[in-house]
Amino acid sequence: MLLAIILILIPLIAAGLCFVSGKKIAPIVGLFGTMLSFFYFLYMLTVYNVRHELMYNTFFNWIPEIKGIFHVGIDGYSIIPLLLTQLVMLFSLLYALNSNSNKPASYFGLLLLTQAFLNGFFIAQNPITFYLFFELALIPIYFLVLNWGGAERKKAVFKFFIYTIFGSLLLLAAIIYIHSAIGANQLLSWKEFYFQKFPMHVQLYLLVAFFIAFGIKSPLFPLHTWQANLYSNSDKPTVIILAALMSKMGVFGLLRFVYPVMPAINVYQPTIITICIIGILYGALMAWRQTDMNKLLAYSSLSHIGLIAASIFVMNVQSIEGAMFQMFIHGLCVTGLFVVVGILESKSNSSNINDTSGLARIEPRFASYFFIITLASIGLPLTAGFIGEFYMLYGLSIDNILYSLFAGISVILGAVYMFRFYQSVMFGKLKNESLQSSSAINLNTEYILAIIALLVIIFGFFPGMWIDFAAFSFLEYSEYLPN
Amino acid sequence: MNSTIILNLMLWPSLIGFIINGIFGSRMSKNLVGLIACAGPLTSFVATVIAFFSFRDTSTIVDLYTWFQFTKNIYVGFTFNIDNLSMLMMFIVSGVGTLIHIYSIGYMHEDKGFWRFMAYLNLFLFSMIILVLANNLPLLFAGWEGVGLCSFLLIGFWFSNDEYNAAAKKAFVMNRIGDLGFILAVFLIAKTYDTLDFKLLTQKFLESGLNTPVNIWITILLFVGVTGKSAQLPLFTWLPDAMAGPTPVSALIHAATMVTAGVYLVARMFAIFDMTPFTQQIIVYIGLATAFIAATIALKQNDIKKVLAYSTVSQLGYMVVALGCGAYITAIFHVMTHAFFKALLFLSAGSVIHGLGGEQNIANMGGLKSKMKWTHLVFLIGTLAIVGFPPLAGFFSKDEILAVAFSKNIPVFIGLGLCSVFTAWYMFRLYFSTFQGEYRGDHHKWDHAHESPMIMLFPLFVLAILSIIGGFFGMPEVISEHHAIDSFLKPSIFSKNVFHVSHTFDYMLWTLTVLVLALVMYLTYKRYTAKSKSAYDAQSEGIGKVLSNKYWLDEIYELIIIKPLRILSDWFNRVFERVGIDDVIQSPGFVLQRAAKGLGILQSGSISYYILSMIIGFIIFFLMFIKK
Repeated sequence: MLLAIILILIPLIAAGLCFVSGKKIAPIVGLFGTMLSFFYFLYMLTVYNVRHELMYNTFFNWIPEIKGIFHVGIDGYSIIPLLLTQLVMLFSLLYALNSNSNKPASYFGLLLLTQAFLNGFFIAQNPITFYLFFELALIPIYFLVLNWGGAERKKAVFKFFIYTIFGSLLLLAAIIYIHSAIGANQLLSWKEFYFQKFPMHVQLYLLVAFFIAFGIKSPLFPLHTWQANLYSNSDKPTVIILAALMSKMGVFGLLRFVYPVMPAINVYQPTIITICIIGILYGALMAWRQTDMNKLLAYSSLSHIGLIAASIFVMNVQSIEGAMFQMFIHGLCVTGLFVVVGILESKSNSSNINDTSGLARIEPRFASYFFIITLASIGLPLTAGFIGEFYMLYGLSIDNILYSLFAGISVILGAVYMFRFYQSVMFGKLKNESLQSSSAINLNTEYILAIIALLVIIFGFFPGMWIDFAAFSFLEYSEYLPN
Repeated sequence: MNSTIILNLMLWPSLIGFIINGIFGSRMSKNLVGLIACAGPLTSFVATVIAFFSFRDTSTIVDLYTWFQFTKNIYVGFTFNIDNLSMLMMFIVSGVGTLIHIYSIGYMHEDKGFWRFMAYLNLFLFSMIILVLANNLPLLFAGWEGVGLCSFLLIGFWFSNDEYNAAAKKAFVMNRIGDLGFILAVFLIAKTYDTLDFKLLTQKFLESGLNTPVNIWITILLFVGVTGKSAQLPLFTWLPDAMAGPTPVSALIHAATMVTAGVYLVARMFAIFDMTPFTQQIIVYIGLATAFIAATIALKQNDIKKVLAYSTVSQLGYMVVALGCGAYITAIFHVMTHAFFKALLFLSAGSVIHGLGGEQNIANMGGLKSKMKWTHLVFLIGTLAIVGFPPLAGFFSKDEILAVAFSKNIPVFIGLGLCSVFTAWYMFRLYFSTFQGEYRGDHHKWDHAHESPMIMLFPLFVLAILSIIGGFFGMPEVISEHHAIDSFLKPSIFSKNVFHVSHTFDYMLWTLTVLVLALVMYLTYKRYTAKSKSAYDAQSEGIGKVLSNKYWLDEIYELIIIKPLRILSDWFNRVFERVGIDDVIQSPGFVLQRAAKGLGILQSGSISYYILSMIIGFIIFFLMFIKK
């Protein structure tokens, strides 16, 4: 039986079991849940037809009064984010097994709950379902950071919460507005949405609302100021979810909403893309001078996500394919990099890049995995990072070669800040005595890094079919595009 | 034999060597590591020889698999092209590569990271082979960035030293600046010509044959890539710093192969460069300026490897001038001879450094010919070859470049001629101060000084022979009707440019060359065989100061690029992020809080003001809708 909703139910049930099971069993139940959902999804993939528009639908009447239909299913856009979610959740849980957290039952329960909602978000096939999961996914994350985070977690999570809620309200307002404009008697599906033609000024308001809502979630410049603090004050499994998956919710939202709804985007496109490109360079320059590893990765994410958003706004086949692919690879890389940071922090008890050095001498295998992931994140050819960047920058150049020029500067700056990070912790003299005696790297975490390193190389050599998934959906939806 | 099999034999062996040595190297014996590492390039070389006899004068395309389908019409495959140009480059890359691998076994034998070193060398060779054989631009770019990565890894091979790490990063980043130009050129080509395949591109270029703005931009951007990889102005300053790497690396990557990739790229894309005279002019002058600046800096350097590094930059400038004149085959000819004699010079310099226990300052050398007979001999051959002493390799290729320049642009010819005098000066200076005269250094090192083992000398002998005979493949028409390189490369580079100089010019140039060389030899002999070190002191005034400080190029870049960026970034971090973004975004809340305080409706408290600002924003938003 292949139904999209099962991807929500598996982690949801597992989460419930986690909450009620004991300390020892909860992690095992949790891991079993993610594995099950991972393999279930893989099985779905084997049957999935690339050219098929929408499969494995589930829908039922949810709020009959307003024709609110609950509708989930899998289309070309969902595939890559779903694969990413299953993989990253697996890594996150594997990593969580090592950190001896207190209250593991609720901890793993919340992680699984996040997975359920994220899956729901990526398979939502109408705006109302989409909004439901967009909101729900915030809740477990909020508790995860609040209960298991770092020293300044309260302040950080509060800022995050306020920002996101603000964005959500705008999103809700926009959806309600469109809904009422369409007429409450209509079924509300993506296609219905895309057929609407609003007057220009309304489109502008909608555009602003969506940009703020998803820009906060991603985050995009200049709505990112909650990011660095939250990342450095969350524990690693949570920050992995935040950086690898929650950030994709934002750009995925842009992909779903912004371009099909509003022809007006053609007029405002240069402005929006310019904002994105400023964000790309701003993030890269900020990352360059950070000494806190978590903040460095936060700003590097800001830069990368900015490029993905810019590509989504230029709306051509290459840019959308590249953005999709890069969502996947960025998710993998940032997961790997936060695992690396976790290892480094546990070795030196500090998240400052200057407190660790020369680690390559005593941890050669770790050094290699870390290096490969670094290369993928700076987009070196024959790693997967290159493919996404190549497509996206080309997509930008179709509109205007200057976009590619300025966005491309981040490729240079990326090498600067990532190698600064790598060299300062891995190379140099092994100055810290305690590093030498620190415990060996846990096998679990090493496996995570090895798998990610392997994946980015495999996808670098064979990106083929993964790019196609997005392309078919794009071509299908592009008939709604203004010309 | 089947072309796919041969291609696979050319392509993969080094990668396999890298994987084996990279994974198991630390647990294997050094001899086994060395053997596996050398087997890679050697297999490629043999495969190239077979390819040479099977596919000469054809262009054999081998498509392994689809890398990605870029647009509807642009297919980007793992597609390779075995033609005469790529075969010649393969001979250089795998041949010189094999010799340097063998040499490295001796040179790096005592190093703890020996296996790592050999693995990196193999990875480099793999990337270089991809670059040379690639039949489309993205694949070439993969090799292009791959060699840059290996250069990074090998410059910073001794990674405990932070200075070496900085040099490695500098090399990579400067290369990336060029790579951005490259990739933008690729985008423009894809947009304009709707293909990225070399063969189709050459056809389309020849058909269109227009000097349009977009073509000018394409060539300029491609050339930006070349300035990064082939160390031309303004991006050459990474190459001298790259000498931080072990000497075999300098020989293989920073002299013989990687840095010539830019020259290869232009030769590969000759058709589009031929139709943009504007870019060609720029290329000529950039090449000339680079040759001149690097040659003059080399006059004042005391580090044996630095002299050779600047010499490499200068020689690359010669090749670039040839490219700019449209003499692509001449440039490739010089790539070949330069690979022979510069690898020879670097490796014999490595032999000196090895023998003296790490000493690199020529002020502390002298008289080494008695201690290192063979090294001395081959270094002398290398010196004579690079200064263009007839009939060694450099003589013919350099003579050809000068002739090309003469037929195109007399001032450029004069400039290059001047550079040749400088070349002679710094090379003879290097030779005399190292091997002749009296020893000026520390006596422990002198007692310790020894000739290198056979495994290091053997590659030197082969390269010395090649440096002697390498030029005979391209003799000028005064001597011989048959120019082997020219007729070999014509099927790949069928540019219609012809260069004609009179026989009298040739004779005069040769006489002049020999006379000048003799004079320079005499002067440098007098000056640099003396016992005193005063000839090596850094000068504090005049032109000497400018040269000793390398025209302050690094300082200028620091001042105009890096420092402003750093200040900007610090300002973002300290001020803008907080005041410019956070405060502004939260200002509605702030204003409300102030108002609320004033009105006494609300008693401060962060929660309330956040939520209130949110609600206000929400209301405003809805009001905007109602307006419609």
